Amino acid sequence: MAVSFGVILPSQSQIVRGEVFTLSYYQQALDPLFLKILARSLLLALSTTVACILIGYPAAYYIAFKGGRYKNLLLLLFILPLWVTFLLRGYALLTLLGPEGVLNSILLNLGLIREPLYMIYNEFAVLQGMVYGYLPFMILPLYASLEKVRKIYIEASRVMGASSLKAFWKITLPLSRPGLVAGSLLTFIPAAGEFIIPSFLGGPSEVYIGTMIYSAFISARNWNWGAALSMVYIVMILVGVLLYMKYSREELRI
Amino acid sequence: MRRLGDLALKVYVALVLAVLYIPLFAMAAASFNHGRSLLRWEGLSLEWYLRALTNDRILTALLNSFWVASAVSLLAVGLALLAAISVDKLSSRIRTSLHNIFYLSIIVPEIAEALTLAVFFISVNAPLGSATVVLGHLVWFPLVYVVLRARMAGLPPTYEEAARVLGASGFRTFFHVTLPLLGPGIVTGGLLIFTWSWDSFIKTQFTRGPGFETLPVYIWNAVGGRGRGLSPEVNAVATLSIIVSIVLAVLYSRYRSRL
Repeated sequence: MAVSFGVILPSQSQIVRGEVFTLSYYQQALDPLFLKILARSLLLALSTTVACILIGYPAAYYIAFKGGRYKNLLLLLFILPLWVTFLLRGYALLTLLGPEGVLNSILLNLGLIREPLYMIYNEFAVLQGMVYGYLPFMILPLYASLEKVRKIYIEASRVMGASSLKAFWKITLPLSRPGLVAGSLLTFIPAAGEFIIPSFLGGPSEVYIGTMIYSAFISARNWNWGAALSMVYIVMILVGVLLYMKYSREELRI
Repeated sequence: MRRLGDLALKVYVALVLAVLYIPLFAMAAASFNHGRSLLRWEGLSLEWYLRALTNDRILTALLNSFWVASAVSLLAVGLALLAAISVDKLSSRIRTSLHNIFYLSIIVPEIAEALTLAVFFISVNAPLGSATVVLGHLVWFPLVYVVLRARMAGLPPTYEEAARVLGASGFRTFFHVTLPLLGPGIVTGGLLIFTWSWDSFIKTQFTRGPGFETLPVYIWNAVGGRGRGLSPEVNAVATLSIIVSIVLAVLYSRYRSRL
């Protein structure tokens, strides 16, 4: 890994072509079109993270506080999808939602629609797919930190007259911050460079930095451009993570 | 009121779980459909499984996935063992920076890592093929390392000291005391990296040579990309692959509880 980073650092990797050191590929990366794609990738990662928090928090809360004897089973059910690769989960979404997919087939057979619905190949479908993919990455760290919240704190605040909403806002939520931070990082970092979900569910205009790196390297065989893109992505992620850490006053612990 | 809230939360969790699992079940159900199109249910059949498992390309891909994941797991466990045992001899500053480098390979997104590796292999003129795929996956060995170190942290040094005091050589202590004690860690870490390797698409795609396909690469080539449509054979092998993943997950959680 260290070695490979050494190679990518002079990333324009003229090593590959034996050319001289150049920053022209980074210049290319400053092109407004590319900056737009970059912004779109970040926006997608951000909306994925926010949606995962909003959808995942109540679920994690339920497992941690109300799971009872089903706690371990529920936990297992949320862990299992993590063991199935995104490639298959993305394809599974396609078999469900695609124009020739299972959902269309059911609706057609029931006579509810006459023509297959186009539920995918747009930006919203990508977001749906991303949330579907990353939700377990958010729920598990959230659960882990909620699980450690001592019930006695919550009870104490209730005894002293706080409403349950206030107790949640002042006690539970702040105490679950480590889980929020870890879950957000686990979601945001890979989501910004996600390649598989957008290529299954996105339309032709849904280009993100991950799909760009992929096509730069695999389709166009332009390694230098691909390496420059990857560097932009890695640096962006590192800066983002450091800022987030500073802002959220959490240490990076893995 | 409170009852109602709990009930609503319960229904909500069930809904979230349904959303997580319905696509997978839909795909699995489609793989048992007799007809080629998903739009019409033509009865239950194992036809697509038969077709998939008699397809040479799919069989080769399955076999490749299996041996790559096995080789990667074995090598990674060896590497991680050596690292985990020897790292204590280093000064703490070097150890910390080593750990940071190790963690980097877990935290760096797969696509950036894949490209880095490919550029590295090309720049040192290593011919892309199955060997580069194995080497590429091997970069994930810190996964095993982390698990082993966690196991070691929970073991008192008394056992090894006792063996040495009773006259066992360093080697003997290692093979008869340390290694068995690390057993659950070795199995857990090995299963973890086996799964990552088995599931890897992007890294394999970047580091493979032409003609070398693992199962995920085959699946991508058959149905990946925009508007390529569905394939019942892929539904069948995908379902099989998910079953493998679930078996690995169950094994993992069984050994994990012994850590």
